[in-house]
Amino acid sequence: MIERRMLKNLDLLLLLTVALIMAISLVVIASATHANINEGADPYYYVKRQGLVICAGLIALVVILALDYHTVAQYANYIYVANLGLLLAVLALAKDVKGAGRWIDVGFFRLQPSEFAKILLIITLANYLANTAGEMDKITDLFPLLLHVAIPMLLIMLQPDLGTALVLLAILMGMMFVAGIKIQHLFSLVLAGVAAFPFFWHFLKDYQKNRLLVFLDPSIDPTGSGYHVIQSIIAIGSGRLTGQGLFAGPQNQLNFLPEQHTDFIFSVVGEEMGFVGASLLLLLYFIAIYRGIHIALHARDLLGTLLAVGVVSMLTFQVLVNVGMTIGIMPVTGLPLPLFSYGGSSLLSTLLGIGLLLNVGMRRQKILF
Amino acid sequence: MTPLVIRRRIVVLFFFFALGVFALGGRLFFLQILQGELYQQQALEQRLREIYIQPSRGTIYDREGRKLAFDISVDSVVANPVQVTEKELTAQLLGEILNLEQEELIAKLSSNSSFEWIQRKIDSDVAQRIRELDLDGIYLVEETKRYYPEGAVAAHVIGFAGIDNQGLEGIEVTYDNLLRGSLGRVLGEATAIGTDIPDGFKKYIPSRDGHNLILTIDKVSQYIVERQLDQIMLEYQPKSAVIIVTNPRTGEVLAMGVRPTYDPNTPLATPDNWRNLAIWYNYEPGSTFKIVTAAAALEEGVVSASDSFFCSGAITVAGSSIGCVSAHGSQSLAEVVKNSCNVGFVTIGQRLGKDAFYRYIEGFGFGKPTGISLTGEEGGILLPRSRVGPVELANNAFGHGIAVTPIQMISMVGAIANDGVLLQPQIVREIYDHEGNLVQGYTPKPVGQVVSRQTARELAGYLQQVVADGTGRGAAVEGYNLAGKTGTAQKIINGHYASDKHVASFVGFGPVEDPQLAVLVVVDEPKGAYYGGLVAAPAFQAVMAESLPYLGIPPTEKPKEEEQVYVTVPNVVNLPLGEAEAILGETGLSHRREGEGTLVVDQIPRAGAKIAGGSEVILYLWDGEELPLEQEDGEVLVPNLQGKTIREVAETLSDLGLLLKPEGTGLAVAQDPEPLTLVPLGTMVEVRFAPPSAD
Repeated sequence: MIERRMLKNLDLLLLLTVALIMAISLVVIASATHANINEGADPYYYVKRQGLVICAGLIALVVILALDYHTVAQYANYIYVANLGLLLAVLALAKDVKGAGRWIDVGFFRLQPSEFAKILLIITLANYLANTAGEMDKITDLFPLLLHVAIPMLLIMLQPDLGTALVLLAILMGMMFVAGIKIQHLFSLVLAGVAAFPFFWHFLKDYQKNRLLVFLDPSIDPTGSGYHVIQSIIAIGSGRLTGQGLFAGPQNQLNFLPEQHTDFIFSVVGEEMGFVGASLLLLLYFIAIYRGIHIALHARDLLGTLLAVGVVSMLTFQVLVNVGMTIGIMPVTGLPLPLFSYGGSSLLSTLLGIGLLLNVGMRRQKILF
Repeated sequence: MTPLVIRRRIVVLFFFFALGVFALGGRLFFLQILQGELYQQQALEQRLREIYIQPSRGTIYDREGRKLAFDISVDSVVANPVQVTEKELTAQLLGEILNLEQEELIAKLSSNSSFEWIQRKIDSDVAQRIRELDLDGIYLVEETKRYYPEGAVAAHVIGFAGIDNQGLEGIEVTYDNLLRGSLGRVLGEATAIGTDIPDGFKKYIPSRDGHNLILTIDKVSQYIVERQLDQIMLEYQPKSAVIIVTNPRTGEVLAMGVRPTYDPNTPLATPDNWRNLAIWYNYEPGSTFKIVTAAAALEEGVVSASDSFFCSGAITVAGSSIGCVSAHGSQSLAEVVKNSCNVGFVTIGQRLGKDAFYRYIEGFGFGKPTGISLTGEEGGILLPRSRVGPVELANNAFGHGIAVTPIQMISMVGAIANDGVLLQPQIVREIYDHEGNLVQGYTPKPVGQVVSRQTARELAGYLQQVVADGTGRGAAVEGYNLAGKTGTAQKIINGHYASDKHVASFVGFGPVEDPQLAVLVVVDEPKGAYYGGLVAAPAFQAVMAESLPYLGIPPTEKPKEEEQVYVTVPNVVNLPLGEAEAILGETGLSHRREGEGTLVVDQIPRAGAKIAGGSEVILYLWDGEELPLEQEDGEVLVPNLQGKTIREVAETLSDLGLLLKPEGTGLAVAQDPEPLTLVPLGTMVEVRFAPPSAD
């Protein structure tokens, strides 16, 4: 339960920052879905839906806050099994959307288990590492860890959802690093990964290979896959210092931008709000990351620290990859911008992660009897 | 507190994260601040779309302002592939209607562009079917198509234009730059899938329509020529035939007809017939060339009217014998010309010598193109002076061993008619810009005084004898003094004269006192008869007989009646009978009624025709019962709009105070209300237009 002195430790700055990011996102989603010029049934359809998810997410966040993270960690084994179960279910039931079967249709909402898998994995991984007290002196100590992550990761890649699988990898790396992996082991893992890359290349779908190749040179296919990146860069670049104005970015409004309310929403920010708006948004993310790191540093125990590090790693990795993609320094992987892109599952899972962060931060002081 | 090592690791991690975020910021700075202007420009450029506005191609008129070539609007099918949702189905439907290959269509509909031609310039009924399908991303755009209302008439002069309205033959190509006009452009913003943005950035550069050309061609004269050519083709089945009519005083070509011919509306059907033989065909002129020999000799003073020439039926030149049709005996110069005596002309040629003779041959323009503004002109073939020996000189003297083009031949005869002054033949009379300003008028272009007026007049007298009492008797027209010369040349096949292949020709002018017309008839390889006097002279005669009165040239010898007055037929269609009769009476024309009624619904000849005063105009009357005797105020009769262009219909209807609701493109084919229905002013007349069918 939440006690009064815990509330004193609630990281209000983090909460406010997150709320601000989401508030801005609603305006930008409105612009990206042409709420200003849509003459359809409901021009604010997307905005309203996202608003609802934000409300639901905030409720979920409060629920998470109420549960002591230690209590949650006790159920780690069940959580891990449930995680795998959901991922298997999506493989069995998935409906195909743009070559990626990531959804389970639950009527009013399309659940995307891979999004939640990230949070669930953070909990189970943190629990495992905390229980072994960061014992990673021998390389063999790493194997159970790798296996722990590899199973859900493989299931996610089978969907196929390369982006989210990479997020899991980022979470693993961040948490292992903080938990005390030997630097030479870390390098060995990275090298092994690089060495194995040609092997994994064969498992990639053609469009995934294409995305990676186009990332290296967008001009190889300017009207195909490279089109997205080129149009996004043109949009952001043409925003210049102060932007074209909200609801007034031609690249967005005239549909030169692809997926502008989901994966490429940052392009709308860049075009319509300019360098000032885009770097302000980056600053907000930076504050959130900073507060997350702060929580990790001041957590009561290793479990708390690792949970915080996991969430921050997830958040940071997604911001870097998503924004990097829109400005042409990261490949197109289909990762949404956390807390910002339109899409319920991503937003919910991110808010759950924020809830975990706040949870850890709130319970940083040892209870004195 | 967490252990120090972990704290340190967290700080390192944060350092990397911060580095990443700053890298993003740096990249943003680069894209938005340093390169922002460039990307803003790129963004603008990619949503700017240029739309071209086709100018309308200039109209080609005959000398009386009658249309010979003009633009009509037709539909073309285009696709915006991005907007085509169901490619397979669309391809299938279009393929059936347009008779196109499925795979090709699918390829076009799947292309990455925002514009693809599917089929250009389709028939109106096909366009209607496509319009009814209303397929996504498939559009009909209005284009113009060149239409030649007279079909094959003067086809070789006018030529034709291609699918992009570019001139390909004849006047259409020689004056393409002027006829074409200049393209207009609209620059406007468009969305990613190519839809216009109404209030976006716009820049408008208007198109400029092409210049209009007035040709020297007279449609009526041309008709006369075409009819004679058809007659020749029917009667003698020659390989080809050419008739040219010019005004020798100005160098204007009044008519130029060529067989075989083609319809410029469907030129691709007969590509072998495109060549304008009148300016391209090098033929051996035979006796018609004796005019040159005679002119040169008279001018040089080597012969005179009183000279006597003896013809024994043959003459020996440098060991070879040159024969004549018969032994003409002793002849005067006039008789030599009249009899077309080869022996006499060889003698005259010998007196001239090759240098003097060739000076005149070249002086009359032989050996090089006349420079008429039509494509594909040849220059004839002259022997190099060094190869002209006594035999060649003798042959040249009666028109063998030399090749000329029909346009050169008629120019030469024109010079004799025109008191010795050679004029460059011209085909364009006036050029107007699209606003109706005169850009270029007509001025005769003298090439030079080849022989003196005196020589020309003397020779004209001899040539008059040819028609009056010589080999050219078949060319005589009653009441007019005409001058002319026959020509019959054997063709050289494989280096030898072929006894069964001839070029029959007749060339001449009239009236001799004041020449107004020159006519050349050339018939290549006629079957049956082959003498120029037999094959070509009758056509010359017919052309002269019809053209002279048409052009208002009075006969020299006054016919029995008083002098003919030519009047222009007024327009009396749609007038009450009484009024029509009054107008015709004032004009000096009689009339005949056809049908019962009080309203004139048609007339023959049509308004604008020139006919002899006192001639009869046939008035066709309306015998409908309901028609009131007098129209009430505020009511008008709907005119017959059949065959008119949209613009003409619009003008006619607006003159009458009626409204137009057009449908389709091309020429009017149906209308509602029907012609001659009495309707209140301001009534909407629905008119359906369709492009004229090619045949």
